[in-house]
Amino acid sequence: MSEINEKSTQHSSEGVSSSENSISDESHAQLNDEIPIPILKPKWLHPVGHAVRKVRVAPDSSTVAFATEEGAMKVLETQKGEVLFDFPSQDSFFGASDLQYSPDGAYLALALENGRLCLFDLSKKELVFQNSELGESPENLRWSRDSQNLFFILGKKILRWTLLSEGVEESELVEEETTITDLGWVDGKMLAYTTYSHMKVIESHTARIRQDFSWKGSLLSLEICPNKKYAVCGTQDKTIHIWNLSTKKDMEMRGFESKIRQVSFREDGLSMAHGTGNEVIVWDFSGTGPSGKKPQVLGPFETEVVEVHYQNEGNILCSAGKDGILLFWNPLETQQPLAISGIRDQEVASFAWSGDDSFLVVGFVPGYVTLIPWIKP
Amino acid sequence: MSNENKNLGSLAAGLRTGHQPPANQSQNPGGSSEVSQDKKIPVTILTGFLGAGKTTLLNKILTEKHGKRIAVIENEFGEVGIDHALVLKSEEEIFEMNNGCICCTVRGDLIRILGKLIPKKSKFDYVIIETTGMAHPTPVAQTFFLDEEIQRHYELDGIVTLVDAKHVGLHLGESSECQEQIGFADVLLLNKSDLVEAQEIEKLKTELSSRNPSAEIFVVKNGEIPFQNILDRQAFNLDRVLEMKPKFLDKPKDHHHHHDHTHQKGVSSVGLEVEGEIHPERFRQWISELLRDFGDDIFRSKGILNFSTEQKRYVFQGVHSLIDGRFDREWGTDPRKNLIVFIGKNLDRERLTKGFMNCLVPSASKSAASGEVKSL
Repeated sequence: MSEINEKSTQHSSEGVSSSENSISDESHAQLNDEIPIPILKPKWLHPVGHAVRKVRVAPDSSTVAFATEEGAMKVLETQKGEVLFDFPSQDSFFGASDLQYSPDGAYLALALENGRLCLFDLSKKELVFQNSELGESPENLRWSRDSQNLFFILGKKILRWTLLSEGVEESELVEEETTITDLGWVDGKMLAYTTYSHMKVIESHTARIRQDFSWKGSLLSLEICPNKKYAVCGTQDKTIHIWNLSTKKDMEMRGFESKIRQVSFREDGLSMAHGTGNEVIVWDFSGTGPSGKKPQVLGPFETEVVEVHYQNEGNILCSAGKDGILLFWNPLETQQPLAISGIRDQEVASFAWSGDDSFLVVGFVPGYVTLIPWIKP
Repeated sequence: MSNENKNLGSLAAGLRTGHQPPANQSQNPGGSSEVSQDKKIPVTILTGFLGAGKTTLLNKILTEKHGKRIAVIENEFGEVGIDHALVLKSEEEIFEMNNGCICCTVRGDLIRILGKLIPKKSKFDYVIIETTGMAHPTPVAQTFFLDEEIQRHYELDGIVTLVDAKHVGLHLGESSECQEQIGFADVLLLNKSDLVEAQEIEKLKTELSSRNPSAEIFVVKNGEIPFQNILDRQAFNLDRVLEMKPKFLDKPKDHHHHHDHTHQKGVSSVGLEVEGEIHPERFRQWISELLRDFGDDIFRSKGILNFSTEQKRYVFQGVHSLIDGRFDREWGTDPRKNLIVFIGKNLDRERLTKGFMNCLVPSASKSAASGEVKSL
């Protein structure tokens, strides 16, 4: 991206709202005088009315769901974006903290900052269970592979909901001395989580600690490499701390513009990407890992990168920015973006690939959700 | 054409944005003014020993019709009892930034909660953080200096410390937390004044003023005080202190001589007023070295400076070894002078005065050396 010339990326001070923009008939964007970039046009766009927080795609890609800053949630079918199910806002101040489909697609769990956790049965299109207020905000929802257990963070605790025929049973799995900051599956049985100064791996059914790594810094986010070899943590200090789960050795990456809240691994685990400031960094995790290797730098862009996600099964990486622009890359082949999409000047809140990688759904802070088919140019 | 279709048509046709990467403005006394265009949310930290009346004061602020939408972050033992008030619970979680640097302690709970409030900035005007009675103010205040994200969206408006007039005498000599809470304050509320004789109140005011002369002191009972006296203080604004305490500059002249060559025990202050122009690079070097070497003992530092290279005032405030500064307004017709205040323990007035004087450009230094420096 360093080849992008200054003229074509020049900042515009005019505050153009999306509704004021006219339809572009262009099929390509001129990021570089010599290399036009194909534009991916959306299939549909759904105006929300409130800031979008999270978007998710159903495991079978038939529906998408989004949750808002106001705590509302909707499920849309993917063909035309028509609303199938609508859960209105319960609170004007506290919004959604997370939203997750169960792996079998039967349920959708919605966590709200007002302390509520809601479970929706998607075949019945109804709310089937919600807790009494938890006092704190439930966060970081993680379903078990069999869709029978839902794990989540509640302050210093990890709680588990077990789905029973007669309802839901809640149990406390872990209580730590400091706030638990993230949660992720190592495999179907082992669950990893981070506190300010520890990364631990536990058995999800017994909570027995299998691995405990300490770090003097403050851990903020967690991602487990698909090959289960590495645990990657963003920190409050704008570094990335990595543990090799086999050798138990750790390493640190420094010099980033901003805190790393989210990273994405390629499906084979050999590449990891993340945004920092206005750049996307791609690390080579093949062989002995990223240590001593120079990363690829995509950018700089004129705005901060919000999220990056590799496809579920492919090599395509998508990055989204505060400028509302999504760029599609294949870092294995070229430093140039393959395609571009988005809504200009509308900050991206969250996006997700469909399970079959045929489209992605994007939520925008100003209140839009759109579905963008992925067609390799 | 429907809005929906228009939106579809607004697909990216090029990278063109209205956003810029964040500007890092801390520790930049000689640099240019790089203040975010986004309005920062003012934050007031409310401290005070257990029983000093913090919760009572909070309840009064929240019920007063001032038109401000206030988000309160209270400690887990707080009892703010106002229906519909936006109250978020928080439990003190201190951790060390910069990979475990002990001097860089911050409050992780505040970073987390304030971070979550950022997307909701349009829904409130103000944040009040109530600390526990035993809380050290350092990690709370440093959170606003060390975390860039918090710094970008929030501004430490002031630290308000409630002092129990009846019982403060029990803590003042012994408790480091109590001394720090007084030393850190921009506003001191001498509460429960109805329980103490008037003569004792005056004595306490003098005692508090000697420990922290830059703080404004209000004598109150039952936490009854107009909200404008404690909110929207703009901790950067030393002018306000000077307006309200016209004798502030004159009083410690004797004090200055009295304490030459001595290190004050306990919490005290050193304030200086100097005419002339400050050399930005010399000041940067001096303040950096000073706070590096003595940052543990300097609780707060504040100043308004007349930089030789600028038409605007340079204002800064600091907490221990961290400072945050910016250019605010043009000097205009105001006399161009320099005000600087340090509050802390073991302060060496002579060393501070000499160091600060060395930051003056030569002509001003010469003038000041002939007796124009005032102790605050």
